[in-house]
Amino acid sequence: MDTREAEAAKDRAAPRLMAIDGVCGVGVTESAGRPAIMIFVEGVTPELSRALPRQIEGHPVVVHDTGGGIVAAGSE
Amino acid sequence: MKPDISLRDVSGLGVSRAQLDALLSAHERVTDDLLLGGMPVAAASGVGAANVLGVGLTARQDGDGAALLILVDQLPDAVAATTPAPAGDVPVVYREVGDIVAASYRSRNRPVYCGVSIAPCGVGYSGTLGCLVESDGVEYMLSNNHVLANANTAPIGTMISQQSGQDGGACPADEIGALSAFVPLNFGGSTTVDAAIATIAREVTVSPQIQRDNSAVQRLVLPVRPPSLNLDVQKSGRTTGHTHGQVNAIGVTLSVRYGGQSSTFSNVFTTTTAGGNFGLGGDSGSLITTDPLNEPVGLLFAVDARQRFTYGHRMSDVLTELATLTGHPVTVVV
Repeated sequence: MDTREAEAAKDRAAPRLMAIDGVCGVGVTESAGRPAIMIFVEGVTPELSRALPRQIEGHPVVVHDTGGGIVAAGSE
Repeated sequence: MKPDISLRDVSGLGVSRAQLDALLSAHERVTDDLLLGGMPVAAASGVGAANVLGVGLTARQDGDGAALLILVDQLPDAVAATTPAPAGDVPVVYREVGDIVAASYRSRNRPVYCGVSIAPCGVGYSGTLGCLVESDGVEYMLSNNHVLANANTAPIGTMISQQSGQDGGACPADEIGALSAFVPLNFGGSTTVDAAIATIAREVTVSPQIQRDNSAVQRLVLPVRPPSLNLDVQKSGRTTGHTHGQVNAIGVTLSVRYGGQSSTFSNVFTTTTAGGNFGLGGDSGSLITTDPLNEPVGLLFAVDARQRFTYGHRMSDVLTELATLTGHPVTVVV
């Protein structure tokens, strides 16, 4: 799968997406056999759902709920 | 929150929509009550004492459909006998992670193989020895900054023990090397990679081979491979041992929390395992490799707060940054 177009779209969208409160990551994934933009969120809220785009430059958006953010993986 | 698992993900197990819904509800309940709530299995089942380390879905032991998978550090016989205690009427499979993993990944190993418990002397956490790298004719042990250098705070020369003090290691008896250099974590800004290297003590033998289950080891194969979507990968780590998964996102820009601080990274990839955990806390520093060939792909450094996705740096990025750090080209030792 050629993900270069989706990666370029992701790179262009990343600054504004990362500036949205509750967004902790942006990447490229696969959805239904085609490249998609994955947005990583700390938790899904109605406000955040409204703030996130459904697609970016024609690429579908997939939201991943991290359940509270992304943390360094050292043991406690 | 229910896990994002579809009927297609468990299509091989003959599970109906209603059964999957019941499993996902049980997953949510057990995750909230036992995993995140910190309540031991004992409190839910009324017997024994075991702490929940992970929750997922797996095949039933009788082969008939799917069951809730609960990973525990130790498994009292009575807990196994009382299934499905904590999950209502949903079948439960317990898997003892702690003691099984301890046998090869958390214990003192000599020679030292990669994929096992390490930490600086004097700290209360554990991480994983990823692999060996070579720079200007010297071999170093590779892991994360937040493992070997305690997130920028350990002085260069800090001794490293195998196993970690948390896992029973003691200094100086279990020292295997010393912190040599780390890529600084830029809190409040962006960091290239969470990586650090340590020299190997003269009297210690560290093998470049990766520890696998049942005392097996696996040799690394070059070249370094870039992560691509759906690439089958594996890793060995201190907490979850040998696990298998797939790359499910690439080119990720993300913010990672280190206690009360955070830093932003780019060009990260994620891995996931259907119905389980590719990595957990304590697996930081694990080398992610192709499965089954075992070519280096990346360096594990972060997980979801709810531990579904695992995050890794591309190995090529790690080697480039280490070359800048040491002033010489850096390669993976095989």
